Amino acid sequence: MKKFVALLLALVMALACTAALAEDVVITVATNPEYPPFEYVEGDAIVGYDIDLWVAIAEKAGIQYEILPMDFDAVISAVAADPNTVGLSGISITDERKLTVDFSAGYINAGLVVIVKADSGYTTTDDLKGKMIGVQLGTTSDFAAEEITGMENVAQYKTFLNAVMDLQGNKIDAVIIDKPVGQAIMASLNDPSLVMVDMGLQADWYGIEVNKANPELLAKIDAALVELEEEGFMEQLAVKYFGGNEAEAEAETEAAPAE
Amino acid sequence: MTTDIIISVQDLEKTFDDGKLKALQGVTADIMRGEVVVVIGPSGSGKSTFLRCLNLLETPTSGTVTVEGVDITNPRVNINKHREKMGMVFQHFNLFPHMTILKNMTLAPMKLLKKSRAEAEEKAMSLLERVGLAERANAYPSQLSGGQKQRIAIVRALCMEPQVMLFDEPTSALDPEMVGEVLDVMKQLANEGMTMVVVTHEMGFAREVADRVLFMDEGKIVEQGTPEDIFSNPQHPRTQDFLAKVLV
Amino acid sequence: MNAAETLSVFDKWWIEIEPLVMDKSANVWQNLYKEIYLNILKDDRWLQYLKGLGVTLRVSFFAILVGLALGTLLAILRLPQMQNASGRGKGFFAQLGAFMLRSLSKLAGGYINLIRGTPLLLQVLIINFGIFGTVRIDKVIIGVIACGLNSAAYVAEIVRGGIMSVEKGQTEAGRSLGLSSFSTMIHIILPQAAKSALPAMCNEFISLIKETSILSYIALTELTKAGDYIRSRTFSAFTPYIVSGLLYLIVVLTLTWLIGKLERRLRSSDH
Repeated sequence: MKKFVALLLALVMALACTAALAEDVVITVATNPEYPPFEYVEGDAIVGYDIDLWVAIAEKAGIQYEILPMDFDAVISAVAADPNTVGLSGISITDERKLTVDFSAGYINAGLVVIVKADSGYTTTDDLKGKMIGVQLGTTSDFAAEEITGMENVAQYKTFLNAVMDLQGNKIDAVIIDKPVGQAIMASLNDPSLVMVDMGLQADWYGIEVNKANPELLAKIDAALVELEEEGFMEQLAVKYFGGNEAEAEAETEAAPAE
Repeated sequence: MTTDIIISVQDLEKTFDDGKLKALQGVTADIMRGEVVVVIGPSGSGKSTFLRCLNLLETPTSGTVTVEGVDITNPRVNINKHREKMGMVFQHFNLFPHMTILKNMTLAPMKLLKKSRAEAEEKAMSLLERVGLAERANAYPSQLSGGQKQRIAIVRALCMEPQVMLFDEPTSALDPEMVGEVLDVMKQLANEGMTMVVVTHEMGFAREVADRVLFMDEGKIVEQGTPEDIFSNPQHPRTQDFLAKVLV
Repeated sequence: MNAAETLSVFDKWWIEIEPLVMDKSANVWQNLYKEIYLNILKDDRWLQYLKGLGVTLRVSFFAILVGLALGTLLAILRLPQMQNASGRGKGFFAQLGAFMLRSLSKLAGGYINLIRGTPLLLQVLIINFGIFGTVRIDKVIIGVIACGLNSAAYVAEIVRGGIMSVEKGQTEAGRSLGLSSFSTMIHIILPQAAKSALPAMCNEFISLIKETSILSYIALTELTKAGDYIRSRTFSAFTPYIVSGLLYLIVVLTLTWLIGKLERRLRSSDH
């Protein structure tokens, strides 16, 4: 129901906004703040890696914006419907998605880890073949899990937290998750029956999702990203959110697939 | 007519609404086997409540109803077994609208008397023939006239081969031209020796068919006697008053 | 589509159009074909919708059965004669039985209020993460239990309304023939109650079928989720929802037609 309301709203907005590509428009930043440490709610505010990054981009590019929290499904609709909305929600860049929307240059690839039961003894992706793997729908973990265990054995949740809860309840065998997100969840659950294993899984790059009808905005964002990288801001951000030892993941940003 | 008592009612009281409404205030009466008893009286006199207490559709507040020597107000008695022996006909027919006439008539015999379908249907068909409705066996109640419905209701009760038939204002809901056909069936039944307790406003029927007439008022039997006694020579002023009103 | 010889005509069309889409020079029809190809044809994605539909139908069917059975029981427990059960006589067992009936009736009332007073989503989450929190059990079964238990509360009120709409004289006629209260309920009251409750019941079934979409929250890939899945791959604005929506519509229209037929059949005793 919610989705259909969102869809309707999106349609109305699309009609209203296509004409309004004026200079001082306010850009809506659509995000699903259930994805710590990339975006999450702290007190009344939406904070996180992605948000800090956006604030810096907006400052550089002189973009006025407001941040609008919503379901991940709605982020897709919001961007599709409105050229002045961007999606900033740990969104993986894939070739198929690029057919429908544009992405900024990839800004982070933090790697994937696997959360399993401590007594399961799973250490490699081979151990996970044919096992039930829980993920958040549409994330890079989702794509990785499908490759390992086949579409039929992937349980796709609305949020990672629900996937981990079903793992605790033995309903699934493993959860594949972004490394920083996994660390955040493990820290908050503090459940000794779970362990986080690095199986060397490849993640997708995250990008900022932009409507294909707004290449000017995309160009501004990409230019700002290049500047921020040169100024060392990206490295600072990685240190702030992932600690020193994660900084090397960030350093790979330079190898990001530029548009 | 024998003098064998089939139903004996002792000091029957029934109150509704936590005692606010006294429907029956100490009714005592015996019904003999083969007897036709007609109960008359103004509306609200308790005559229907009295009838409905005889098969415990109303649970008496106090007093006893003894059927063939068994006190059916005793909670240990299986009332369903006794109801099988006491057919009842209602003012509003109460046929089962979702069943054909034949199903209406065979449901209880098959369930309770463990008759086979064939046996039950044979019995039902012979009864339908007697009331001239055999060709309507596969009709639904909604396809029948009121008079036909009531005749069906009577033979439905007869399918259980009851010892007693209770009639609760069987003609009150009928169009005048249909009253006769129902009363005819009842007369026929009376002539065959069926024990009947009839609550009715049909004074003609009472006069012609009743062995005994009970006049009830304010939850009591005020006066009883043969039809001649009651209709030609009522003793009690309330009986006189009532009859003066209905026999205009 | 690994080898060139397995390419269908649809794939070939797409290969022609793809470069135009990428450099944003595709026309309206080409963009429309892109939506259809990516969201329906590619990688046999239409099969995903059908599988989701299969799950939705399976969950709905069994949930309706659970709801009908439990709902009817609850409805009977909520009848006035159960709420005010007094027991024949003053014997200990008669009074104990009456007390138990009254208690069950209250319990049934509490259950109905609890279920109707809380969102289905919360019930699904509580059943999945709470009641079956540590049990490895098919999500379809959890869906059937959650939706069935939920539907039962609504069915109970519908059936109770249906029972109350049957004239008191019907019960009296049944009982006066010697039928037990149970037989009277089964053979005389419930069939008539079912008939008058059918339109409301049809509504409830339709709601239930659509509400099973909430099960996507516990990672059950039913029809809505199948659409979500494809959308998460293509980032299409709403095409997958239209496909899912059409399938729901077909199911609901078919059900409405079937129940309409049943209704006409039951009405045949009315003319």
